[in-house]
Amino acid sequence: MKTLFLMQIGRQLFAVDKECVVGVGVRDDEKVKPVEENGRTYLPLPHGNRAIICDLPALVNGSEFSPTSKRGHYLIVAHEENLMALTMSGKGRIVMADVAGALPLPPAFTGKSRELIPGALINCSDLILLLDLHSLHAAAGETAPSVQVH
Amino acid sequence: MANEKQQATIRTFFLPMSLNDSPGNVFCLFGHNQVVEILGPRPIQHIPHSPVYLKGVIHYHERLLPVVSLDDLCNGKQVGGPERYRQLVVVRTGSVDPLTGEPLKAVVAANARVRIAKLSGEELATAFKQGEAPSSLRNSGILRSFFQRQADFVALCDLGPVVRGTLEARLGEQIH
Repeated sequence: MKTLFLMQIGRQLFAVDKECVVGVGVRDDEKVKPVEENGRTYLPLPHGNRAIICDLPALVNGSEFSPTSKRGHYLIVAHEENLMALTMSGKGRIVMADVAGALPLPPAFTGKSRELIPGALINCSDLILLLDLHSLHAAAGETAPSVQVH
Repeated sequence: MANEKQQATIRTFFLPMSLNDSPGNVFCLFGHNQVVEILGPRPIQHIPHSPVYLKGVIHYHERLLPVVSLDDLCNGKQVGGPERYRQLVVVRTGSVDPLTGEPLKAVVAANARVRIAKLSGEELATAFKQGEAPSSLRNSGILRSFFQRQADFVALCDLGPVVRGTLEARLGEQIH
């Protein structure tokens, strides 16, 4: 069994390893304005840190389905030396799951999609896609500068 | 006698297709031994970074099956996103998983209701005339053969390259 952080994007469920989660923040672009630098968007964090924003709904549904609402929540995750702010619909929740029982994607899915989603968990009629943070970071921007995690 | 007549007919499934470059009605034909089940509309879990013709996965009997849109595969539609289909046809592809050796199934999304017809062996032999497929189908990498049946057109497709994940490579070979 493993502790996962479950987040919802639209009607789809995604999970990341709880150990990587730094925190959850309210998304309010009026109060905390994202900063653009070198074509990438960063979320300013306390102590001078910043996290590269990964627009998961756009990644999942295609950029034309990016939500117009600037409210919601960010899931802040640490990956290696970097921080990522993942946009999500609700606050998310912590769950325990048997990741050894995850189903692999069918062979039809190759390349980036297979790297990003190494498997899926079944919970009744729900499918929970496991997210690979390394691939997600690569999708968000390979050249994102490193930040210190305090 | 009635039993003999029943045995002589084959149940076939005609999945309506919408091809941009075809003036007539085109159907993808599946035999009764190919079709496992026809499902009603249900949520499809989209997988990021997948080709536009792979609409996602559904959970089916403890397996994840890829959902394929033949229209998007042929027409090369460039936009993705949530879509609803009238029916989802679970089919055996005849291919096996290269890693596990398990038979691979696919789910073909249908925008319109699949037609079911019982065809006799004689009709199968005489009513289907070889025809020239529209370029969208010819270049799809899955076309086996193409026929005209009365006013309609019928395509036989091989979904093997799609479910094995080798379609992109096959199309690349065709281009070069």
